[in-house]
Amino acid sequence: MNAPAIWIIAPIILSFAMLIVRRHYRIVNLAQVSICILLLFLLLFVRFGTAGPDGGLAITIDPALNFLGRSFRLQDTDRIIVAFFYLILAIISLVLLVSKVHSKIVPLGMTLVGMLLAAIAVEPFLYSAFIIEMAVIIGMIVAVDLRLRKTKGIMRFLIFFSLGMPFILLAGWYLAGGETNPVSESQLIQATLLLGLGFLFWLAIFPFHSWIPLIAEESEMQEGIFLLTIFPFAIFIILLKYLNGFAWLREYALVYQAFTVLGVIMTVFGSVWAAFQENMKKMIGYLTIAFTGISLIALGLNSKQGFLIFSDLLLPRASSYLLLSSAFLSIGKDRQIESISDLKSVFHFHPIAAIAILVALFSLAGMPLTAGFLPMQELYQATAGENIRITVIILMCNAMLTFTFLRMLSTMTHYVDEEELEENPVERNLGFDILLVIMMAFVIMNGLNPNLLYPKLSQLLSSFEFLIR
Amino acid sequence: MILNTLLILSAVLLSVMLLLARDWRYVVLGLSLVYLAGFILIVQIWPIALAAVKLVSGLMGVTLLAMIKSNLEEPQSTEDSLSSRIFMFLFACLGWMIISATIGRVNEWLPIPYTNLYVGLLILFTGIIKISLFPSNFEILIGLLVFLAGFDIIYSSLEGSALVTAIYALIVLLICVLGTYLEGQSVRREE
Repeated sequence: MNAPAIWIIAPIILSFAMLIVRRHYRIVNLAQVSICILLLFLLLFVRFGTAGPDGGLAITIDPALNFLGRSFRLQDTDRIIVAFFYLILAIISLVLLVSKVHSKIVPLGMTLVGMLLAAIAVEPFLYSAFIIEMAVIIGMIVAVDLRLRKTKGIMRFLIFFSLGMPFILLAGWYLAGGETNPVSESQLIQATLLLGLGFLFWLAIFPFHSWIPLIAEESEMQEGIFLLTIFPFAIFIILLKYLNGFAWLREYALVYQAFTVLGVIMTVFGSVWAAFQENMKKMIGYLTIAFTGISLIALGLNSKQGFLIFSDLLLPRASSYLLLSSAFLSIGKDRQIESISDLKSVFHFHPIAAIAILVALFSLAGMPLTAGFLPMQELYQATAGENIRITVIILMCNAMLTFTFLRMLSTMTHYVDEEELEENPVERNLGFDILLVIMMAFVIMNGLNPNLLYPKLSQLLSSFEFLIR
Repeated sequence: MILNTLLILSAVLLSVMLLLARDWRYVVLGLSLVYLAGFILIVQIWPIALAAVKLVSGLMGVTLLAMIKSNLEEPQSTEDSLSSRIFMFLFACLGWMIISATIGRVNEWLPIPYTNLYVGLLILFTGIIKISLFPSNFEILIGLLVFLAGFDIIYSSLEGSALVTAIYALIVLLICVLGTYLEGQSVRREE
């Protein structure tokens, strides 16, 4: 047995097997939650290729799977990346199970996660572009809602990723030559341009961003958020692999300058559009763009601190998105949420879900006492040391978002009289409320005590030993 | 030499056919011929077994799309005007001119056979035009397949790998399955 067979191939096969019996949805959903938890549990005891600590219960397995002359390799340091993917899938599947909502994430989520992990694990890693393309097609099937007959967003998703693929592959071919032969300055610029163009499409950098708000708008909230959580994460990991893998690329100052400039553009663009957005789903799409920009700014710092901030930013992003998705699922059973005005007085009918939405949004904006505070604080500090103008821009963007969220708070707590409350009783799902409270507590606990999870998350960077100098 | 010239000419004709044909049957036929042209070019570099995988997977995908389309009653196209076709043709001409003018420089950068690069770029550009100018999902997916077929001709000339061939075949089939999934909904609605 080897690691890719357990964490990549087996989930994909199981996912297809579960597709056959999908009419027993609840059982399949339960099975998906159990498999994800089992895979996470196994990660605690299994080491990939290296011996565990003395006296521990660790089992060592082969890290590589050879397939058609190439290999899929999961290093021991990749365990945190694998855990991150399966944790997100486990939580979202559990939320679906408790809320009794049907979604194509069950069971296609496992195929999607398996494919994204395959894209990260494939060697030589320039082939990851092909596997990402396959994952995009599966992602489209998950996201598309044929009842609405809206496919513009998913088609753009496919087109932009397909347009990015040739650039990444050609850059990979170019860079592979650079591994053995010294490259000239002009070759360096050409390869960097190719790679840059590829990642412009993949990271939805302005003006190739339009699929993000469209996907968020056209799909159901949980499916849209699932895609917007795991795809950017996978693309960032692949970007880091490229930087880590090629010495001259990671030492090319222009790359980091480009990250900073593009990051600032995305942060400003995403924040301004999110602040003036009335459609709730589209707003989440623009928040994704803004947050991707913030992650790029962190990478653009080109320092150990910058990379640590990048890894720390993953926690508030994932936890806030999962919390938002769960809260909207809870409210969505009672009322259709399209625009912000649909949230009017929601606090009086769904107090827990309303608080969850606010906690998630304020965590994204980096408010104190939430999980987003620490990485944002670190980012302000680090960028202030490099270029104070960037700090001011990020602060202004976050201030703008905070005002928007405060406006939402006012809408959500709008007064309703007792009669209206009695006329519209809300059916409570105690299990779901408990789940929401636990998720909120998680976000707040990580804000109150950053030592709880952040040090573990920074282990993610141990896969990129050349970047962390 | 004659074969290479014929292949370039046939790529130009295929490009016209894919852009100007309105009946899905001609579009699907054009796509099949693109895969055939790709096969003829790739088989000159690769073993026939690997090159055949691309052809077979492409034709399988085309069959899938044709099957679902044949079950669907053709709606009246709104873009049948002569002016739109002339625009499309002129746009394609502009693309051919750009490709012809820059092919020498590109060939210095990408050291692959001239015919493969020329045909690959022509088909790739046709795919991009199709993706950007046609509104329906079916046409966009066909455009995407054409784009990928064009890129595959270029990339296969640079790098040969069984894994890449397998994944490429899977991508083509998945796009066709996606096409049947999206188009199939229309069939179910009609029923």
